[in-house]
Amino acid sequence: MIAFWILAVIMLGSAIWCISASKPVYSVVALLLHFAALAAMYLTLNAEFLAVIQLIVYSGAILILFLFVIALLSSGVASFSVGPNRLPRIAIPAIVLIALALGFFTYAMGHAGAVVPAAQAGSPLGPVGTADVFGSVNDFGKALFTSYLLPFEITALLLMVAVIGVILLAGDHAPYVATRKHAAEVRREMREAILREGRQ
Amino acid sequence: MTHHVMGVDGSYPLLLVLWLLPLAGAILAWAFGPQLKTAAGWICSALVGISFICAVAMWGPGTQSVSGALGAHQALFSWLPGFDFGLLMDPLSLLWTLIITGVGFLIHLYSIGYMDGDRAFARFFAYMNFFVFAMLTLVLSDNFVGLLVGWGLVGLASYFLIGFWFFKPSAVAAARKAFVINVAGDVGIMFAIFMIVASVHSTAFGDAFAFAGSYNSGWLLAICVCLFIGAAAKSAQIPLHTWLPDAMEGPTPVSALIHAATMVTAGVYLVARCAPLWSQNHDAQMLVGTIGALTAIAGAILGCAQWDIKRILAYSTMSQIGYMIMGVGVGAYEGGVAHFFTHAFFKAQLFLGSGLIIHALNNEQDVRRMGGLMKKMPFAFIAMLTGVIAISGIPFLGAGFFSKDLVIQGALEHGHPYLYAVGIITAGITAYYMCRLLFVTFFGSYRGDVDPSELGIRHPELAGTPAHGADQAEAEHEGSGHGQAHHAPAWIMNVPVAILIVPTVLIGWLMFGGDNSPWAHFFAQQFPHPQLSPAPIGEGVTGLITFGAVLVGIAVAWWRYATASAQSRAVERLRGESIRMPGILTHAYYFDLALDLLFVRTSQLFGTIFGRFFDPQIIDGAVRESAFSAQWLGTLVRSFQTGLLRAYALLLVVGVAAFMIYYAVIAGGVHP
Amino acid sequence: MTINVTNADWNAVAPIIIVAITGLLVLLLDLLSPKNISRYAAILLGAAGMIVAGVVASLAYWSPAYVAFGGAFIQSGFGIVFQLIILIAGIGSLILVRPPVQNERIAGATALMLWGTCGAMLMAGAGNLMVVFLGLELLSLALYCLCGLADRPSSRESALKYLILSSTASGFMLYGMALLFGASGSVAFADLANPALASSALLWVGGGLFLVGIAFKLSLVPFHAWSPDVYEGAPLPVTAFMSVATKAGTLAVFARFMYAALPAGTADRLLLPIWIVAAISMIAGNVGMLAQHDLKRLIAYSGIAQVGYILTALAGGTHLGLRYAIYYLAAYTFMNLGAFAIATTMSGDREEGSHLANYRGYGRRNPVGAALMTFFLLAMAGLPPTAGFLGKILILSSSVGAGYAWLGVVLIIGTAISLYAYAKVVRAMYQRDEHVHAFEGHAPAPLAWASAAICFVVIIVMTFYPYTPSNVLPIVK
Repeated sequence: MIAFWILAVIMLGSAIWCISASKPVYSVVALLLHFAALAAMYLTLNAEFLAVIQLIVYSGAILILFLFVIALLSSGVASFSVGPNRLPRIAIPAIVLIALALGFFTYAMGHAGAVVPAAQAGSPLGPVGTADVFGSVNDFGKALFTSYLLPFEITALLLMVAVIGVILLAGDHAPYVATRKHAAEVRREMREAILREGRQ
Repeated sequence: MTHHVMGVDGSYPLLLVLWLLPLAGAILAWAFGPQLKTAAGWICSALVGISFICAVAMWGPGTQSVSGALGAHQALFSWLPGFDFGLLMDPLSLLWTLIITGVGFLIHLYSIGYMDGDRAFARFFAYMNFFVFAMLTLVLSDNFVGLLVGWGLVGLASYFLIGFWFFKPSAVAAARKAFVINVAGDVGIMFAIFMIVASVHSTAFGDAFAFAGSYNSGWLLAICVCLFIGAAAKSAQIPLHTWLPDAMEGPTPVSALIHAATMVTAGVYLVARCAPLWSQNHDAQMLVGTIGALTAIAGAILGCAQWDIKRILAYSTMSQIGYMIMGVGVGAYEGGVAHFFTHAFFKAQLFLGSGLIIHALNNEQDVRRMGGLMKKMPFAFIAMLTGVIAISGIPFLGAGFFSKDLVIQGALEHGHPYLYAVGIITAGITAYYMCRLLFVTFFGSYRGDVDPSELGIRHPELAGTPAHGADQAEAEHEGSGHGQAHHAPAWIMNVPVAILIVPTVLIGWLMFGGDNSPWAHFFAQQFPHPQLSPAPIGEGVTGLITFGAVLVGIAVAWWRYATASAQSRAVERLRGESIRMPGILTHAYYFDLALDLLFVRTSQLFGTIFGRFFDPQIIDGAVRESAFSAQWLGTLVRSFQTGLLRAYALLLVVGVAAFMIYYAVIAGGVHP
Repeated sequence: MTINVTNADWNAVAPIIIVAITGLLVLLLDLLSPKNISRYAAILLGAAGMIVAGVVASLAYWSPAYVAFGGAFIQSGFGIVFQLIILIAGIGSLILVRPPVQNERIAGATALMLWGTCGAMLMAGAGNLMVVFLGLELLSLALYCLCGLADRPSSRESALKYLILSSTASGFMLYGMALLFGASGSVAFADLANPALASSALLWVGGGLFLVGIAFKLSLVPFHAWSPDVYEGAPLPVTAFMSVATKAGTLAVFARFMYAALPAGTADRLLLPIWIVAAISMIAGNVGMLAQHDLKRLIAYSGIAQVGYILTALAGGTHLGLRYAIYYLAAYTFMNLGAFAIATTMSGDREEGSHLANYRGYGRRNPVGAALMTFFLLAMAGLPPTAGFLGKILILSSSVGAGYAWLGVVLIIGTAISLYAYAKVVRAMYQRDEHVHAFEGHAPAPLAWASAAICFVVIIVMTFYPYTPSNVLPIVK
């Protein structure tokens, strides 16, 4: 329980840091912290497999990619330009309303009724909520390729759409390097741009 | 749910023929106009004539009554349950059909002479026939959707015909105005249909009326009000009347057929058709009756202030339809319908008579520039005289007396003494302005050669004379160069007028005799007849009082325009009257201005406000283009910079918060 | 507990697989052909794939419902009708793709549109929350990319706005799904209908958050702010697709949730906020149309209101209501596609067809196009004799019958307001205006014209032979 609270505070804090950081790099670091805490949270819930995946995929791969992108675009070191930083006039009543909603929400959650076991409802998908089934690699794999085959396949398609969509969007605007000479030029321009940013 | 069909179901080929013939004529004249030339007019007239004969032949089936079912019903096709289409001819639609085709036929004949030489002669007849078809669709339909289709189509035909001389900007403007107001009315009917379908799951008259007693009274009032918005727009009732005077920009036969005899009375038809609905709701009756009476008197007063012969007639039409609406509104359906019937004759008569004058005077429409025409145009004088006698309601000499009396007495019998009084006063005013028209036009000496300014005609276009357009119209009209023909109206124009004189004088006797009159018999089964306590004033006495008011009106008109002294100083008198005419009357109570302020301006303002504050657009293009090179990340940042995205997200979260409060409160409550 | 996946399961999703593979084929063809694949080849291949998928789907329409993948996907009349509507939307907007999307990207754009269609079709047949979410994300992801495809800054901006706001809403929705899962211990819709759950706070709160996501995707007020901006920025065909497919897919999910996944006795209270926002949307959407100068924004606001009409049909949860809602949705699909087709025929590189100013005097330059456009707009307004009119009448009768007459009244008021907005466009088309700069023709767009003509004919046929699918209930076996 203590672990939960500590992790919860870390997660919330890092999330807030992520969106309020002044430079993109800091945001990424905050996100890293957040993901790490999340992985720890999975561990406390006996979901070891998820925890590992979380660390490898999110912290390991995706965030590094983020960093690469930020470094390449050379704006990671520059501050976000946040624009006119004033709240719209409706913000104050809105915040009051949101706070109120959160209060009610917490209250309702605090009085949440007992969970109805799915076995009772007769679902063919079974009691997926049980902890030891949920986390272990063996059962996870089995469930993934039988009960959750369709979602799994859709996810594959989803990822492909994401990849192709990005290629399509970036395609024309990425520096299209046709020759070596041209490539060198592009590199030089980028280097100069980075230097220019650094001087400012 | 059982389906209620009105009328005796059967096969009535004649009904189909009389309905479709005018459509065939319209298509013929439209497609082969250039080849047919003047033959188009004859063909179209003949088709309407045959339609009329068929309608007469349908008299038997149309008035038959078999075990409670009245009239003839011809099924056409079925759609969804509750959406069956068919034709219904019962006494009410038979009456309208007879007028549409009968008077329509005469006006078609007249138009052959009136439109002679017009460049678009065949097109004119195509439109006229199309109008007859649309109007027949309206009155013969056995359901609300068919009625609405006819309703829309007559509006379209009216739009085409008002704007027929489209080279006149005023005509185009008038046509557009008429169309817009009429579409507003169509929408009213559409909503009424929505509500009726929602209540009885059917659009058939039979179903809608069979359950008339089971409607929620507020809902029924809403249905009646929506229907009446349609009726008021089509029948030029206050405050939707402003299009009718302007509609006089169309050729005179159009004014006679559409804007006097038939189309504008569609509102009367609608209310009479929906009598079972109105009879269930006293508030709706009160509303319709009051609006009718208001329109009657307001139109009559405006009629006193006009100088354009067609506008005088237009306001008188508005006023007379006010009578009809008042009649059907208070529940005196026979009276209202009777006034439609007689009005169709005498108003067509008046319009065609005025057409003779306008035609002979080279499209002069200002009565101040007429005068002394009695000797020059005796036939037109007789035509107008009989018409004026009829509309003024001089006892026994004209048709209008009988029907107007039915309406006025009906108002009293159904417990509306104020409307009764308004009816009588209006009768007096009507007599005044119609006699004024007659005296100024035909008595005294001809003033066409007097300088317009001496007659007080300051702004021809403001006064309503289409002077600037008229020349052009004339030029167009004279296209084939037989100008002489205009000054001696061909027999083809006189014959219809002569034929119309007969019913104008005599037809009212059908309504003579109270409950034993042929009229009462004809409609005995058509309308609900509630038990009424006898009116405090008898029918004969009412006739006398009305006649008294009429005599006063005629006397005032005589004193002002027809005495020897008045005639000798006619020019000065007319000038004085023109100049002293109160602004409120010359501007028709400023209704146009009010409508403009109320709807046009406010909606513009509304649009502006909405556009500026509630609907922030995508970022300004200029800003976007200048910093475009930074591309993706740049766009990202800039869309934050606008603040819009944050505002949108905030709105989203506020919505979520509102949802959450609701659900959390319920969730807190359901806990066992 | 595991399930056996059999051939029948794959058959149930066969239409979706066909569409997905067609997308791959288009890309492969582009890769293998020496030059870039031509516009027509890509479009026709994509359309052919969707037509085949449609035929395959409709073959199963009358057969009994089949629960595939252990409840993850349900092949039934209900889902198939929605899938067909989505496929029609896909075909109808795919054939509108024109130069604004550059030729080199045509294959990618076609593939993305096909995959987006897959996502929406998955939503239509989804039997559990997981498939709903994945389908939704598949559709949304494809749309984010499609929105940004035009070479205009506004296009990118629209993609970004859509991405950010939609992800926010998806976050709420996902949280709601998690809570629903927490309530029932199952992701299946069928398990939510357990009467024991009626007293579970998790169901109410989770359901509420789930409905927030639905309301966002349907762009109901106050979750609507994204749609005018996104529609405006996106390329015309994408807007056409988005305006129908997203709504059809989401409505299918909503209807399934409402008809099949609610414990008895909870529907009235649980769905009340949706009816309220539907009512607000009918008014606000139509009012919003008044100030618009851009066809796509106009359609966005119109769509906000039209969804309100469809929800009015669903209110009360009657069988007839569902059938009428589907009828109206189909009619709406054709009206929208028709209007976009006409806009496409007017458009060149700069999408002139989306600026309402360019419609001034259109009635003279192209009477046929103007007449068709008028027809589509009047159908949206619901004037007779169009399917829009009939649809509204049906909706009204069902809403009154189901005890939601107040929504019917709002519908009537909204319709009254909307008439004014549509009439403004129609009037502009027929204005006799001398000052209109003659608007030069563009490359002929035979496909768009064909699409407009087909939409016209279909609406007429729908009006006179109104078929409301009778085989849609029960939604979940």
